Amino acid sequence: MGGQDGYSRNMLDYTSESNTVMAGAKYTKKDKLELGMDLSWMQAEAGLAPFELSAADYVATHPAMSYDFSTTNTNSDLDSTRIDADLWAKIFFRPNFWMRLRYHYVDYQDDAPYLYNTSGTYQFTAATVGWAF
Amino acid sequence: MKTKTLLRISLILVLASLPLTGFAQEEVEAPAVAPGDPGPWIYTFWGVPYTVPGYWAAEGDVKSSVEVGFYGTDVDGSPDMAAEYYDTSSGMIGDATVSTHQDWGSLYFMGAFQSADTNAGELDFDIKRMVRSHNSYESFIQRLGHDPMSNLEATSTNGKVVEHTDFDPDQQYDLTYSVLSSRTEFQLPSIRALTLGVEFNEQKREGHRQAFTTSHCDTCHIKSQSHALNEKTEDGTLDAKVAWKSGFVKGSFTSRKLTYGTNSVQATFDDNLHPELQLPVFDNRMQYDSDVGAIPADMWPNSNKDKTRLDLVLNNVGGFTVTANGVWSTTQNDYTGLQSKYKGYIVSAAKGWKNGWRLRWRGNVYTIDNENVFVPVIERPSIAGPHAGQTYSDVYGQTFDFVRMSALNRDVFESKVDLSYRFGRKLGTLRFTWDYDTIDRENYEVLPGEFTTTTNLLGVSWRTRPAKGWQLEANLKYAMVDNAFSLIDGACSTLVSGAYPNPWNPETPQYFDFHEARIADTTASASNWGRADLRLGYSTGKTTVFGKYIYYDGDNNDGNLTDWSRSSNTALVTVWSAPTENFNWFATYTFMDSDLNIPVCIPVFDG
Repeated sequence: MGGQDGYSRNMLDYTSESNTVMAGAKYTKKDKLELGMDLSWMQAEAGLAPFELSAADYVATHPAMSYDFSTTNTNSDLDSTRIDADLWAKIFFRPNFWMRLRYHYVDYQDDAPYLYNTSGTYQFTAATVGWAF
Repeated sequence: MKTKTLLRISLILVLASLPLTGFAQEEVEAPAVAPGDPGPWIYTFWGVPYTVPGYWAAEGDVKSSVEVGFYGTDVDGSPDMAAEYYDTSSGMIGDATVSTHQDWGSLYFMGAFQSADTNAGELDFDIKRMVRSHNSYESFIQRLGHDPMSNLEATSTNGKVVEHTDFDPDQQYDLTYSVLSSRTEFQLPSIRALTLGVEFNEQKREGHRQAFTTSHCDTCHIKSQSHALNEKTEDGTLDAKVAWKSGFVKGSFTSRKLTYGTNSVQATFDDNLHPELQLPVFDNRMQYDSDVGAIPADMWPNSNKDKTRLDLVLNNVGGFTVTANGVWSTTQNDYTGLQSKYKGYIVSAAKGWKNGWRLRWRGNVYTIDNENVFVPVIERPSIAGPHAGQTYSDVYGQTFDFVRMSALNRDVFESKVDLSYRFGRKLGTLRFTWDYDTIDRENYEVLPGEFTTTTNLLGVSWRTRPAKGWQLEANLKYAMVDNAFSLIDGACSTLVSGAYPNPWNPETPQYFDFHEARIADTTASASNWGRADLRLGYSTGKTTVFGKYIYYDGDNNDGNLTDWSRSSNTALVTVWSAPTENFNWFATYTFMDSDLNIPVCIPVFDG
């Protein structure tokens, strides 16, 4: 039975990058019509460069090691994209009586699942009528 | 009574009866109100009966609105990120408001309802400036996801090194968060200088979290189970402020209570077995075994905190604006009775001269004092093998009982000073800054023989408007940190032990031997860092363009084999435009990257 044979050391290199684009517009015609739109696109990725922890001195005199770090770095990969779109309209029938419509769309894509695949889309639709008095 | 008034009163009553809160308290009978009296307005979200003011008093300037409809949602795939904070139900949606401004004061009442998890309410009122009250409530959900623990298989999948078991694989982990904030101020006309305030804040988190427990002998065995959450944080504050022409003094007392309305989960440790032999020969190396049965785990202790604060502001002390405050707090863990004490004092002074110079200084001293904890390690005798009947300390002559002394115990001094000179509109303002702080730790050594971290942060900035519509700002900062936070001998065990026939051989190195042979000082804090940022803006009145770039670079090579560094770039460009009265738009692009370099060190074992 063997014991400890020193240590193995590597430098880790962890990089991350993100890009975000947001845009929005709003049109208002007093007591007639209001239109709004907000859009965003967010992309982020991060990763660890491969590392070996080869313990070269040890391996030179011993059988191959039973552990394998060749894919360990990939467990730190992150790669996700999120699209968010929010559209709404407020249509006035009279200055104090209106209808509001709203649509919200979210698309989240997890291209490098960390714990599990969290990809999914969400849609929200609403229609309301309002009265001011 | 007019139709609109009836509608408004009905609206308020409907809003008040919405299932906005789960904190209804004992009802209090409201006093009768004579027609024409302006109140009193009584907040209804707590379930207190609502007293309607004389409706005719509200006839002057009253605005009300109600909006109702339906909503529907659709989810494809996982909702955990796409709808992390969104309801995925369908149904009715609505909101309503009532606001009025009268001789007696003003009132604003709002309620918004989507579902039992997602709703909001607000009540603000002001009675002749004598009573001013702001009260709001909001709740929403948060999805927490479900960790399948598969990342534990990063280095090994044979079950000898690490394995995992999920006792609630189908549990959806989420919680409903709600926050109630209330502040009311009283200021009598006869004593205008005195303002009394009453505050109440309540935060709740209700749902389920994923609890992890570890059993580590045969393998590292991570077990997951659902832990019900019913957390409540309540703050109550009383304060008094006396103001005069050139300053004020204010004192406050806050009592906070954090409670968990749910029990700890139960966990049973694995049978202590040798990984290969599958025999119970390692019991004297473990504090627990399956024979102990189920024990409480993932424990969340209740706690309470009392805080006293004094503030003083003097607007003219030799031309300087001077502020001073003191904070004294005690936090107690209700389960252990352990206390943490904080004392902090801040003084600041600022003055601007007509010749363009301006000086500001802010000093802060504080101490944190946590009680020591004696940790008696459970020593079990082995039940089989060469060490049968002996505890670990019987064999190796060491006891592992210890007194845990808090690494947070410290005396801190912070000073921030900046001196600026305004050349003029085009040449702008030049500012020099010097931030100095020392953290003197009572127990924790950050580098061999060093308990104190000292930071000097120097900065220079220039802000100008070089031409009509243009704005430019440039900032440079550089920090030098003596004895940045690190863990001495935190990694890289140099032990070369040779081969031994079995783990019980008297010569076989033990865990404490591995640890004592570590030589690398690890950190995640920079000992030197620099930051530069440039901001540029241009505006035509109808259109504004703004850009910003930030660069950061920091490293730490102070310790042995430390080799830590990080750099980042951030850039932003945004355009906003309102070409007509009816139309406006904006677009923004943001970029960020970072590069972190840090060593990893593992001990190499043979068998």
